[in-house]
Amino acid sequence: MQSIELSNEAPTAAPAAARIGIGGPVGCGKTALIERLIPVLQRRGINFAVVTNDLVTKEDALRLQRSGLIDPTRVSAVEAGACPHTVIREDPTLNIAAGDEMERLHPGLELVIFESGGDNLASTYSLDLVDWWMFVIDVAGGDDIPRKRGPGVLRSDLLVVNKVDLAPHVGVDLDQMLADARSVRNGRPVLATNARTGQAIEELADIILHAVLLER
Amino acid sequence: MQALLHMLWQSDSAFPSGAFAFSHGLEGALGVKEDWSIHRIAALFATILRHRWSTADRVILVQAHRHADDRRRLAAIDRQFEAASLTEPLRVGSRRQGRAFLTSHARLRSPGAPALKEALDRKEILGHLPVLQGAIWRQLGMDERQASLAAGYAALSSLASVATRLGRLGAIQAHAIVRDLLPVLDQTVAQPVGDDAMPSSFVPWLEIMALEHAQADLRLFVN
Ligand SMILES: Nc1nc2c(ncn2[C@@H]2O[C@H](COP(=O)(O)OP(=O)(O)OP(=O)(O)O)[C@@H](O)[C@H]2O)c(=O)[nH]1
Ligand SMILES: [Mg+2]
Repeated sequence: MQSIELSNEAPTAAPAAARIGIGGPVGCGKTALIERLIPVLQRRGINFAVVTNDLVTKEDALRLQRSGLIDPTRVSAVEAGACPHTVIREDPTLNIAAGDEMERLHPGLELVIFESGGDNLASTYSLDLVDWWMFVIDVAGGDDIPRKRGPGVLRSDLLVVNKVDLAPHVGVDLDQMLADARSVRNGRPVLATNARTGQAIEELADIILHAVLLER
Repeated sequence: MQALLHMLWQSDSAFPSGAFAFSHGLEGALGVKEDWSIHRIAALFATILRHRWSTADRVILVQAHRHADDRRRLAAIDRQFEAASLTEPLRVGSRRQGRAFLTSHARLRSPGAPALKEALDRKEILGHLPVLQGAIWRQLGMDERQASLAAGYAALSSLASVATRLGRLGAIQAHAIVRDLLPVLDQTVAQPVGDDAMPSSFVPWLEIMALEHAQADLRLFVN
């Protein structure tokens, strides 16, 4: 097929800071993972900020702002009008504007993390918004989730399987679940984490920073 | 033809402009009671169109459309809308929506949009939505009437979508209201706008609901 030359290709100017997305079903541990990542990123001297997309409240933003882990001005919330997938995919303009605002407020910002509101397995991030995104599922959500092959599981740059500590309690064969996940992802990475203890959070930071900061 | 297509493009709710996250006071208003009949909701939408959108947003949009080339005049029109928007959540909402709308157009490099985005970032303009709609749509070749219709239709269909997502109307019911209010839109857009007309609105109950909504812990929409 012939290609069509566009009069210009959005996006034009790349924002100064790398932007990453963290998506996944309600309660899978997105905010908990961010809470664990914060001290690791700080120790590594990364200048970063977080934008949350809560569904009906600003609870996640307030939780991070009150955590004492991070300067509260580095956390902001974007309302999603009952559409957690729209605000990261079909219409990411409010999130883009929130990221731009963070860059204005914090000169030298290197990384903005966008936490999606809890959604379903079909959610994906717009490449207008982020350079890289991860999808989080948890062991307690059922070991059949990788086999359901939602776009989040298949297309994300990293699939995180969180709450591995719960596997014995919910009758999940973790090794099998991870193998199933790897088998549907065409070689893209899968990481098993425990946000309660911090297990594999250093690896998570390695993967993120390698993907978005080194390769810029 | 090109202008007509631009009008369709810009009134499409799929155009990324942040609009889906704003309820313009509707979430607060519909929240006050459980039993809203479809007729009362239709009357509420008509009131919003006639007594807020038409007399405030449309007046500003038309003036911005006329003075799209004059940055200082645009800034003055923008300030006038700010001053006429007493209710904070609606005023701030209009600016946030304007910024989101301009973010898309700046990235698309629509004529005039990157320069307006720079002016907004330098705080030379406040960036209210109707000002930016008027200015940018003029540059896209839409005439005054087309720009007004696109904005009015977008405002109406967004109310319908909010009520649907709040579970107050079925999707088809919502569009029965949209259909029946199209003549209202037609009438309001036909009303002349003087160059020195001041924006005004009179929907006090809705504004009180919007103020209460801003204090609520649980809410789906920005305003
Ligand atoms: N046992 C265990 N619990 C976890 C783990 N990670 C998160 N949790 C718990 O799971 C619950 C939900 O965690 P959140 O971090 O709020 O989940 P979320 O994905 O941000 O949720 P939403 O933003 O509401 O979609 C909390 O009670 C966490 O303490 C984990 O690795 N193991
Ligand atoms: Mg969360």
